[in-house]
Amino acid sequence: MSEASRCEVRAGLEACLARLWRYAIVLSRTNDAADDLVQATCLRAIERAEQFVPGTRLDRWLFSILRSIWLNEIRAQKVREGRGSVDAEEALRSDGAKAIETNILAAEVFRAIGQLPKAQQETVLLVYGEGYSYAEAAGALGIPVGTVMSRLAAARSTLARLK
Amino acid sequence: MDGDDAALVALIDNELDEDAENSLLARLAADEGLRKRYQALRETGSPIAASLDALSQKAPLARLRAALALDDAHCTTFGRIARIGLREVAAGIGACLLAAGVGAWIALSLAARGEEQDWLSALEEYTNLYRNETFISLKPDISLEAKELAAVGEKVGAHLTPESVALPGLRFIMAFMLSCKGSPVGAIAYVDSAGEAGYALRHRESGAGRANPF
Repeated sequence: MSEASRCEVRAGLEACLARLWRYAIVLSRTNDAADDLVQATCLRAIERAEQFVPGTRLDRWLFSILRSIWLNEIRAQKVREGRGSVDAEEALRSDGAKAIETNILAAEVFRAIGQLPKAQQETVLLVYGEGYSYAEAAGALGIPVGTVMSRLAAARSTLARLK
Repeated sequence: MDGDDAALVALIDNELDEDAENSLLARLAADEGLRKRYQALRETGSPIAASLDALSQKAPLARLRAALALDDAHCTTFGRIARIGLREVAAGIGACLLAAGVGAWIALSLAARGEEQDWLSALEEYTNLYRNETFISLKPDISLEAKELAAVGEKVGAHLTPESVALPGLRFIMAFMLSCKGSPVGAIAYVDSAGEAGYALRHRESGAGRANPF
């Protein structure tokens, strides 16, 4: 195993945890599935650290692992178990009074995002949450760039109607 | 969705090539309705970013870090545990831990496994490739030891502390979880003064390990 790869993966994992969890919650919509998904992603990343190329984007590599695990393993398991979905207001609940106004808006938008088709939600997260270019998102999702464009346009169009 | 929305959103996201961008900007300059649509779509950007930021701030980091620490030890172990001798010392581990009140554990010396049970055989697949030299180089501090032991203890149903698993003449290396056929196996690795290492193992499904199987 490449020690450089192992070290870089280990060093970078913790900094990516929150973003991995966010991706996991967007995919799974359940807290327990998101936790499982992040844990499985970290474990898989460490086990396969030799496959990571030092100097490349660790976060993108981790995201691809997370998505693969979701599609191939956890999604099917959770569907079989019939787990429920996380509530948007619950997920975004704030303990601090200062953030109430912001979070009301965020919760409203998050709820709206949550009502978008799954494919649009994921594309929105990658492009607007993670800063993927259209081409990068297309590559990660295995779809044409034109489909990325139409998904984002549809998502923004839906959200624009909230106003 | 308006037929121009995809192009307008791509313009907002700076994803159009130069020709397409110039063409659309010219249309925007001449079409007030299109400009209003562009503005409406553009204004969704900040709320989307804010909601996604808020979501990431809700990540249960403490819980995720704890899980990561456990699995990190697990994976480290896969990469480091070696063809291990320590036959005499390993033979005594199970009985010592039993006496220490942390349950019955199997002592495992990888160089001497003639009568393993199935799950011990399964572990061999994980451990055959690793080298003793790298394994013994690990020197965990007491806080990491306590953290690893607590995590493993929770998984195998035992209250494990640095004091309760201390063994005469042996240095704690790490505690970690293995998984055999879908059930958890707790493992504590030690090294002796000669640099040889061994494990104490506890298979939760079987209730307890059987001491001194060799």
